[in-house]
Amino acid sequence: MRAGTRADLVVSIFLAAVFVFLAVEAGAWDYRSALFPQAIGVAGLAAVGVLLVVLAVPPRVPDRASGSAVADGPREPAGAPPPAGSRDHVRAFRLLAWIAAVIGLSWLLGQMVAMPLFMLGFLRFEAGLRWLTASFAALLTGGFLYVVFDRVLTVTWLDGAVYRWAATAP
Amino acid sequence: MPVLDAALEGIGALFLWPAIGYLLLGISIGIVVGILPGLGGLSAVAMLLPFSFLLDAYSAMAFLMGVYAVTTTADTIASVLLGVPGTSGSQATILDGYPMARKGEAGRALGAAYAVSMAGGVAGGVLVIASLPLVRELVLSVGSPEFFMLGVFGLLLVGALSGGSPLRGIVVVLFALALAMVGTSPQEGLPRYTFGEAYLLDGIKIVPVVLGLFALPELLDLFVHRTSISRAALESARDMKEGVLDAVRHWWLALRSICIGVYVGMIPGLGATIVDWVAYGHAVQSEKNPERFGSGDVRGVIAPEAANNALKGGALVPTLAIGVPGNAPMALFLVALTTHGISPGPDIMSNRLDVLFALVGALVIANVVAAGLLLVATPYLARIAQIRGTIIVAVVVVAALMGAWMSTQSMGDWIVLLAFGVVGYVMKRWGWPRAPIALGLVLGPLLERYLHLSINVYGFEWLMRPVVLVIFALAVWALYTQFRRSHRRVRR
Repeated sequence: MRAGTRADLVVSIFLAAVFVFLAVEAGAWDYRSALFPQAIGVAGLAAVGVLLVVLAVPPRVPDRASGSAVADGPREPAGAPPPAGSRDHVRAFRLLAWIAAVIGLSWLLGQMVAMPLFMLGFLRFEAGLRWLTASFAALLTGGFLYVVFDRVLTVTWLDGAVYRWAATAP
Repeated sequence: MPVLDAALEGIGALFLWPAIGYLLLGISIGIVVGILPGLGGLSAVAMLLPFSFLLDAYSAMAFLMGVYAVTTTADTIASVLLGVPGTSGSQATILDGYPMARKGEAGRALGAAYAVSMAGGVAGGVLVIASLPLVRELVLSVGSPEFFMLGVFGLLLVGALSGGSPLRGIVVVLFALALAMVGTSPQEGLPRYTFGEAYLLDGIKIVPVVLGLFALPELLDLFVHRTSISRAALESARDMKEGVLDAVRHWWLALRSICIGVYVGMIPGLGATIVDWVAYGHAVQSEKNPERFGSGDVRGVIAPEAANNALKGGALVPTLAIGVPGNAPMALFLVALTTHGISPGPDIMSNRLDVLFALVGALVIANVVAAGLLLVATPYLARIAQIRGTIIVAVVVVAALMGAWMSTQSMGDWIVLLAFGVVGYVMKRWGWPRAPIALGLVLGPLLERYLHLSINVYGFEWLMRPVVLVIFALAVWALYTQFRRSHRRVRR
């Protein structure tokens, strides 16, 4: 089985589970509330069923078509994944890890600390900037966020678990 | 509201402070985003959408339209000088734009592109106004059943036309509608599919979803692939006068491409990615000496660039008239409109025509200002594309996180952003269309409301209304042709 088909299969099974849950959960509600969710659930299940049949009985000629149109965003070929090496994936997941880290750090220390720290770390270790330049960029980020989001837009900041603990500690 | 009064009020408001300031700010941001390869109008509008909630309606529309309108003008810089598309709408421009740059004619290519981009943007705006009387009468004469069916039709079209497989597109549309049901039931006001999470009571927020689906995968690409402009290419981008004259010489091709752009824009689902290819293909088929295309022919720049800007005016028509977004960025404009208490369809067509004119006015002004600015400042602005990809990534990650945070200012926004970032990356990698998710999330609640309104007023007899039947037949026919086309492609 091709890697693309395998991925389609996994996604299809997941979506089938979503549609089943959608319809079953709505079964406990009154008719009006359940109408739309059940209609979508049943339609979704039918569509996924057809998709699974198509996946199970592949066309005789391998699918090399590139698709006709994409509503927006880059052109997305059907089935075959775009050429990307495993090193690319590692790099992509490294960026996702950075984003997860900044979210975790924000929860722990608050955004006003986490965002400049992210800039410092990312610019130093990923962009290869000197410590001084990265520190300057981090300071600039902190200042910008404070002025724009705190003073101008009066956004509610995340305090951070450490700050909350310190504030309530005896 | 009388049309003339609305036009004067809406367009006039754009020239007053603070709307004019926000329009110019939006244009500046749009130019920078357009120049940076990989980041498109959709990512920019998604990031700035939460900020527009804090502005008045005119300023918000001016700001967002300023950003969105000019990205496909500024993206030509990356396409011509780097040979990589600045946004998804300028892929075909590379075919002749990049060879022109290599021959030392980058300035000519850019000059022609800016001139026709401006013409396309202005023509698109004019067309929206010209179609207003007809569209207005049409919209005001139909009711909830027709709007429901139009919404279904639009979503099915978007699903079927997105990506290579219509079936996968339709599955994604239905998944998006399922996501749209998370929150509170409009009938009973009871929580549904929230898993006891307070964050989900108001539904899944569109901003973190769109940022995750579209901005993060582009950032990942930018992080993985690094590009830079050569100094020689930058030097050749100076003289643009010849390119502007080329645009005048090939006015008939530009006009035809503009018509293609407007027409493609008006059909929900046929978005920015194909319009440049359709226009390019038309130019190759209809122009003399087609063998010159692909080796640095200015006509290969004129056709896609005229079409991708004209598309934006065309996409405004279904978005504003019937509430079916022409493409994913238009879905975000719908969110901005509804946040400001303006509903598409009969409401905007009868009560808030001024906002419609403000949107169109912003589209036209943004295109003129951007073309003028780029004609003068391209050699300096192009240096933005020389900034290292990782530095851009760092800045945009912070912007995306803060943009998502502005949605409800809770950790839930970031979790949704990251989760849909992974979903978006996987979908992009395996060719599942992402645009239907944004459209489904926006249209889901509207469709449910129209369905219940239809049943409450007409019972199930609404299904037999003639216009509903006609739209249903059109939807079936469109799906059938799309499936048949896809089947033929597979067989070939």
